[in-house]
Amino acid sequence: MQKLIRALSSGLLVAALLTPGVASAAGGFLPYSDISNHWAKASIIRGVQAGLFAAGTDAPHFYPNRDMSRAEFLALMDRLYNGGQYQLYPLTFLSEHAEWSKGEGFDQPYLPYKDVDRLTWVYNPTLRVAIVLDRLYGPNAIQQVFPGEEMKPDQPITQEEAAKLMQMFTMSPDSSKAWEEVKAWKWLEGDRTDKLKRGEAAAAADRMITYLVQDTILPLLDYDGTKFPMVPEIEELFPYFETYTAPKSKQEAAYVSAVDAIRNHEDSEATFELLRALADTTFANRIGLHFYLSWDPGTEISTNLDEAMSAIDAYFANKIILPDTLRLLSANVYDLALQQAGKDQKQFAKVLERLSAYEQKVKPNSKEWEALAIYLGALEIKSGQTEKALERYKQFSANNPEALLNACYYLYQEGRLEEASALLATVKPNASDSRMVQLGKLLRQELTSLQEQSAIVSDLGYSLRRLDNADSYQVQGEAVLSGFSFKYTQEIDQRSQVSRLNGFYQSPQKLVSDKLATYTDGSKHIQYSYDSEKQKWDRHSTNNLDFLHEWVGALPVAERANKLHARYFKQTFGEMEVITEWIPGSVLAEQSASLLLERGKVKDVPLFMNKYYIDKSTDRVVKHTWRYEEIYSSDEYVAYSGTDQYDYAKSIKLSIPEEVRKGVTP
Amino acid sequence: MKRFSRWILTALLAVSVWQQVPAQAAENPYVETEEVFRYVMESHLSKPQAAKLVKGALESVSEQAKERKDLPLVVSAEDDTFGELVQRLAEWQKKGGFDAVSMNTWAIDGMLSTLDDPHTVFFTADELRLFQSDVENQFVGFGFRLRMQNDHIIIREIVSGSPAAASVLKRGDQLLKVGDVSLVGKSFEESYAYLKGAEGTEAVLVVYRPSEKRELQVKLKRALMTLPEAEGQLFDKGSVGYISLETFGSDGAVQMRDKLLEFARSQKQLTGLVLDLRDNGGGYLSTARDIASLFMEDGLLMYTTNRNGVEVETWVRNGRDIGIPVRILVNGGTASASELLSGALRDHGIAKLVGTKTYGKGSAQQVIPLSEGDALKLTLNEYFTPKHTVVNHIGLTPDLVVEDYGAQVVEALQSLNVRAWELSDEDGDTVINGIPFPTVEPLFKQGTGGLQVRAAILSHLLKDPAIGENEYVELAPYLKKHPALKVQSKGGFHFLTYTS
Repeated sequence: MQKLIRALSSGLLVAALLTPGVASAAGGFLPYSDISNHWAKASIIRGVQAGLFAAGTDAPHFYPNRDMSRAEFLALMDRLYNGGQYQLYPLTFLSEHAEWSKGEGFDQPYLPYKDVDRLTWVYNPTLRVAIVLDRLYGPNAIQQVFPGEEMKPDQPITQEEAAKLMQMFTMSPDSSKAWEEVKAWKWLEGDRTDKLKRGEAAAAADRMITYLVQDTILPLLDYDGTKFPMVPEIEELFPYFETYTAPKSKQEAAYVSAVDAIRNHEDSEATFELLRALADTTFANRIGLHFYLSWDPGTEISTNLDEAMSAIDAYFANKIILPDTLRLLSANVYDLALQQAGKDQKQFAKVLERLSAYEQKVKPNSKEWEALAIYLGALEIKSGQTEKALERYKQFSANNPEALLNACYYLYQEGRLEEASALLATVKPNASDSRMVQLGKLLRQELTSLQEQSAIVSDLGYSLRRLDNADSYQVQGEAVLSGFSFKYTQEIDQRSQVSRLNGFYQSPQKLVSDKLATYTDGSKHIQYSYDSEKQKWDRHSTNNLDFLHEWVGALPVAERANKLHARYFKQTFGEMEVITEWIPGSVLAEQSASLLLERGKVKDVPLFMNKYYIDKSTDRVVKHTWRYEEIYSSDEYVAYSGTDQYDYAKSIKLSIPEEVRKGVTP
Repeated sequence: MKRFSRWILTALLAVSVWQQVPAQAAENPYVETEEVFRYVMESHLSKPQAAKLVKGALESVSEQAKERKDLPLVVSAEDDTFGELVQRLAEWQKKGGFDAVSMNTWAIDGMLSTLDDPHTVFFTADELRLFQSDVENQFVGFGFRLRMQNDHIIIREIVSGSPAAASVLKRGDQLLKVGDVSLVGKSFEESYAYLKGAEGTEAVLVVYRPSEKRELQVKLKRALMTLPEAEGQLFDKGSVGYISLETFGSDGAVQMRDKLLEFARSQKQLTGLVLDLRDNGGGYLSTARDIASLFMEDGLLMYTTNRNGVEVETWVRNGRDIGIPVRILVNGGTASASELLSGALRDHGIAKLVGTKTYGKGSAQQVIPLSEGDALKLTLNEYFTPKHTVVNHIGLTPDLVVEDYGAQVVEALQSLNVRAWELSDEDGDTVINGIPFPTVEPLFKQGTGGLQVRAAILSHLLKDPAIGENEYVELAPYLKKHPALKVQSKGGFHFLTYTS
């Protein structure tokens, strides 16, 4: 079995995308000839290493004192987004599809400007940033940054314009506060109207990279149910646990080769045979032997767990305090427990009991204790002892980021937001501890947002009720359902309870698209759909629900919040209020257990999120974006994402035509 | 009240989403036939009937069997399903002792021939490569372009950066021999066949250079070259730009953009542009759209429809208005993406078309890889211009119909208000205001009554339809009639100048 810990470690790649390579940071190499005496030299070099700036024979100069143009800054933001997009994913829902500015549907997006042409270098980066802004803040959001028909790509960008773009990486609840928000993060140093120098832009980008590789923007958001309980990232997963220098003894060489094999995914039965043979000798590195024997995919997990525990025994037998080693050994135990126990609380309790035995061997509140305690806390959560875990986390949340995050998260889960705020108030990190400083600030912002949940629910509920009560409206939509792409226009006449839909769809198995035409009779619960192969109208009843998302979609927002534990986040951008909704999959699976869906019983819901864009002046929903992943008991996997845009301007009167009702060819 | 916008997709999915593609039998010797059959049945624009495809396949195999082994195989009207086709193919393969590859090829050719669609084509892996390099304006050769003149094969142009460019060969050299084969008296096609060869192979060429009155021998290696897709320059005497686009390959739009930028950098303010799409057989639609964006800020490029009656609009966005009058030169070889671009720019009032009626290929194809590395180029869509003009099988009739290759250029420039002219011959090309055009016939000819000139060119130059468009006319009477028309001789060449 592939160990989870190995899979988890690949999460590091996300950060690695933006983290400058260590090797290249070493030498004294300067990528440009004009930065040696510039104050932002280090930032510029890191920017080159992170792929933000092009260097090489074609670009010998950086011109750090020149003004940065709007286009240059947009290209910089595009590259930063490319590296940090995982951070924004729960707010953009933008998959890799959206890359290279193709959009996700049939229509290619374009820019609302006359002076940014397709066939220029400015175009694609600008378009990509515009797409992200559209998704985050609603239609034509880039107009809030650069209003008008012309974007003037060559004009120097001001600090305030830059801040309006940079705010997308913050939790800023209101675009009118973008400047204050960005200044509070200390990314920019000048005044609003100052022109941004290229050197200053490099310094800002450098600070943003530092910010982006630390915690996620909404640190308490667990949109896919995989984040909590949080455990630290392990940097060195395959240490030797000893230092071996040439010449190595035969046994040492054998051990090193076995570790290398496991590290390089080249291990075989022989690798573990060799380790077992070494275990029968007096080979001194007992920690290493037991640790790597716990990786044997050929043995039972209970055996692996025994080996993992033996590694900890060996650690304490050595009597050398190495918190990093103990952290790795504890992580290994936790990882095996996750594999063995699944969702079984009792199994976790058993592992917890075994691991807890070591707590008395470490000094309370020492680094060594923290290394162990973070996993004890996780096991306590997994075995249903939340209160105990909270007490534990609180003990070291003042200087341990994971402990603080876990404490705040489980307090919030228990509905104890006041306590979380009080705990946070006690955290006063050293100014040099940038991760704790950043985390504290993000958590304070997030707790404020969590306290506003009921207000957001009522706002969204009001706008959705207005949609339901509109006499008629039109929807322009694009969606992808299990690989099928749809583009449609739907007209809805709520007085007659009739809706009509026209459009087309593209099957992933076909080369040509097909027509989409339906009429829905809401009062009789009948849908008529056109079968273009048979060239006639078919009738279906709409009494039964097919998918989970249909059921959720029909629930009032208040019920989604209370019953389904949906979480909401509101941001204001210009004239648009944007409300993002995340519904935990575990609650959805639980609450839908009694539902009779045509697709079958819901087994798992890996992802369920919505975004509603509300025009502040009318309080109407103008756009809705969604992304759902549903797994049914038949193991059928349904992925559904799309965007609907609403238009209330036209008055629509609809009835079902006679020929449709009779099912005849139109 | 419930929102019922959420019901939209449900019913449809119940009908069609979960149908699985049937797994292919592992040992089916006619996999390719089956694949082609399935793709054509499912996707071809014409919605063909299965019986027709089956009949076409069997008739084709039957013909081949008769031709090759004089084996009479009778096509039964009963055979009208794919299952029956496969059975019959197996039976006939055994009877005739044919191999499966041939059977597949014949059956596929037969099926496709029933479609009445020359653009749906089966490609072997090699043919596919050739097709792709064609679109990208790539070819293997020595690096010169030839023309036939007075029964001689003449080097018309040498491609820069090619093996020919690195040798002593020059424009105007006459090709005499390739290896041991004499090209003297051979047709153009025949000569071309001898010159062709695989990349990396060598040949010794013998040429005659008339200006030095001597023969030269040169050894050349054939190489893969990518020719520029867009070429052009400014016409002398005035400020009209000329761009010739050879194909709509993946670099076409960028090269075109660079040409326009180059013109913009020149001292003169452009007053017009001539875009030469003659004999441009098309290429990628995406390139056509990008090129259209060099002419218009935004607008509809085309409508496409498919067999299911779905009509889709394709728009040009974030482009730039060209701001000067444009003339597009077209002829019977202007096809596909060329017609698409011409039609759209004309419908938007940006360009006028000059020349002869275009080819009439108003359909779009997709290349679909098949299992054996072969491919099927399959017609999926028909397109229409923004004004819903039908292109397919009809072609676009130019705004200014002009038959003669050189006269087309003259007419385009006339309509752009060009007033000063200088025309001459150079190595068989007709040079119009500094730009050589590969006309089939030379501009001048020595007749019994003195110097003669191409009638059509003179007619369009002098705007005198009475001259007619037939071959050559004597120049002398017109020199008298039009004082602004002058002929000069320099170094054995004639120059015709005129101010209108």
